[in-house]
Amino acid sequence: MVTSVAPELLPAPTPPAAAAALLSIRGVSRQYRSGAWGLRDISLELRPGILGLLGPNGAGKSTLLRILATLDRPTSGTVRWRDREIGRDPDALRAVLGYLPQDVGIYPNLSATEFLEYLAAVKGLDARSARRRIDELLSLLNLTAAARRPMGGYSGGMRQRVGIAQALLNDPELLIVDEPTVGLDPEERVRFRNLLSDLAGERLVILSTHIVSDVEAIASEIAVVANGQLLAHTTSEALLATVAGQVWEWVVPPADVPALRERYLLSGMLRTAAGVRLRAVAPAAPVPRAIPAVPGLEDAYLLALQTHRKEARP
Amino acid sequence: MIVRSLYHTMRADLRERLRRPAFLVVVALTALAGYAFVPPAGAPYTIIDLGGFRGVYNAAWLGAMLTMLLTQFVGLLGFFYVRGAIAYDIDSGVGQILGTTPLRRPAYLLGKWLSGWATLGLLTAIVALMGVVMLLGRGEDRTLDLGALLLPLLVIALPTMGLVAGIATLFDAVRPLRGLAGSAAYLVLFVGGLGAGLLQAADPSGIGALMPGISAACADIYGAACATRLSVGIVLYEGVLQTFVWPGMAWSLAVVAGQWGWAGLGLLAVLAAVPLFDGFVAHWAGRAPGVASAPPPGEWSGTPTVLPRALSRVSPARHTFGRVLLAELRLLLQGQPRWWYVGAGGLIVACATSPLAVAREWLLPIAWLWPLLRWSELGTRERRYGTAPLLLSVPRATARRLPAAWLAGATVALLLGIGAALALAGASDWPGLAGLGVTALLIPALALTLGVWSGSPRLFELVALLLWYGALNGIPALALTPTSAAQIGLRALLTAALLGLAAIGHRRAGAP
Repeated sequence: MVTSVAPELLPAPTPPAAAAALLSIRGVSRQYRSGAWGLRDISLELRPGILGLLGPNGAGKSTLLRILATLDRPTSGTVRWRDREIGRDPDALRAVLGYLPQDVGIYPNLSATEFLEYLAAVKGLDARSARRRIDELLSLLNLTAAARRPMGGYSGGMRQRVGIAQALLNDPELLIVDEPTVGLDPEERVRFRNLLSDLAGERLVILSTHIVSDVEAIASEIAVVANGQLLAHTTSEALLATVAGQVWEWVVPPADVPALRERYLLSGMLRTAAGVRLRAVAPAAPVPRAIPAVPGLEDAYLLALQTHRKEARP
Repeated sequence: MIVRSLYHTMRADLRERLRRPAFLVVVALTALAGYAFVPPAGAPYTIIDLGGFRGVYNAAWLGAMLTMLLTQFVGLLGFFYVRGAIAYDIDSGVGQILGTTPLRRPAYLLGKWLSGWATLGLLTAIVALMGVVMLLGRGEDRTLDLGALLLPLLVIALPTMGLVAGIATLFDAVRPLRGLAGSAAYLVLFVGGLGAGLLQAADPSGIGALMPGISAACADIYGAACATRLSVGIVLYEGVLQTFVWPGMAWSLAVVAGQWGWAGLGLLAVLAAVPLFDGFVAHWAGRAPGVASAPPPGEWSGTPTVLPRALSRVSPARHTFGRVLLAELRLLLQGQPRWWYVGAGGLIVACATSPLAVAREWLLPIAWLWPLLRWSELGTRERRYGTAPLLLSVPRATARRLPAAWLAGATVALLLGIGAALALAGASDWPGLAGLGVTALLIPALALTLGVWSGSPRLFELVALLLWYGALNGIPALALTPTSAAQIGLRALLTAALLGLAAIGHRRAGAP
């Protein structure tokens, strides 16, 4: 695995893995007609496993995913799947691609079964084996009972599950899921994360989200994107190492919180009977009574974003 | 409060309209029309003439001429351009937010009306600007009399635009009129009244107000040779029109009040829409996704019945065309109300059992009007339902889907036309049968192409209604069952060309 991250965030780069990259993103930039940049010089070498693509809203995650899903083209740079450039030969990737867009669309007058049968045909899948897989996916996603009803009556979570089913229809080698847990209740979210984790195996799964806990549990690699730039590409462990010994907790009166928010990078707040328990990322204890806390990925993510913002300031 | 919310509704809607790329296209087309509608002497076509005569291109004539053209062309097309504002709010989700605010319906509808009127007013201003350009450009009389040029536009065209925007708002507000029914109703209304150019004191086209003075000026020079009715529209003409000087119109208060009365009628239409508008809350409540029909909460909990690793393998298929075609047919036909299928069946039977002339001239046009809304989904459905990312990220996206979507549309045309086809076969009218077949292929190709390129079903609906109107009026080139080999061949070529264009547009939609 290749690790790329702002030098001050990581103690040392992780050595490259021996396996060849499945997906190779080199110097990808995307400029819109307005002149604004959606992505700037993104490079990633990705191997089987789950990549958690983290970034705030508007960071460029969906732009990158649309390029990877062959729905957009970079202004410069290349994307290669198994050494074939997808700009020139998008079908090489499309045949093995499962894509769950951020806002998954359905046809309200079709049932889930009919919709999946349609997409199986459009994806070029054999009718009999597709039919079997559709039944299995509907069962896996607990949609069997509703499978023959028009989808216009489905809840948001059910529609999202149909979206997940269609992404898995062709047994994809590359599974791209963009903010997949939006619209799912907490139980469904946990279940979906487990499903992705089980699915990973020899596949490459790219999971884009701004919810750190979605990534924390299952991602083998993490890429942090902000303002269209790649801030870090590393493992969870290496990203966590950037905040080792820098996370603190202490209790303050509620009235003190606004001032402290100005001074420290607060990564958590919890109201307690004794006051507000603050969690901050700082190189040294903010106050003598602050106690060191076990760092989490959210702490590291917020620090990476803050460092980037400071550097970006003129 | 109501005035403020009205103003902000209008401003937001107008900003949204003017910032769409389509507005620039409409502005460019309007400017182009302003140029083409003032043909030079000896041009192979006429726009306005009185049986071989026209006014000298002075400020008054250009003002009157552009006014009549505006009320005729923008009066018809402008309705289709400005309508859909409420549906846009519903589709974009903004309506869901508006429905929960204290915004009153009158303020909302009046704001939409004023925005639509302002949009058409801007097009009127562009035409006025082109009037100045053409006055100087053609150079027959370069006297820049702004009053003579602008007054017809201000007195006649502008209030007519208010009427058009008012009817568009009314049709938008009344749910059954939002779709094709509203388009058809407006077409009938326009052809029957608004654009008919009746010789009345104050008709919305302005012809009634302008014609007496123009006729008199022509007759002063050429006497009875001048036609008593104006020909307004693009007409092929060989030769040079003779000219006369029309000094302009003396605007009386009665004429001004009469013409602006049409804008008042537009206002009345909007006010009439207020109690008929069901608002957004009702709309969203009706569309709320499955609150009642969803399975009990937590259904997706517990141990999965199939483990992911146990998912069976799928293999690629050699041919999927039949399945894609079946699915496209399902998308076209499934989920319609029962009366739709009953009506379609009735039309097929009526075509098959009626005399051939009735079937061909009356029933077949109605039978092919029946699925117009279904066809207008071709090429636009993916955008409407947000399925484009799923369908465009598959291998051979265009080759797999486009022919199937087209053939599904053609199958629907053939199904609805089967009654007429039987009647033609019964009369051994084989050329007519071939003409019906090729038209059945052409209609969905047109729908697909216009849908793919415009991204909206409305363009096809408008074009189809205009063609349908022409066919119903017996224009030979628009006959639904052409019999000449040349026409049949032309339509086959046109179908192929349209499909090629659709394929290009579809590919562009994938990865630009």
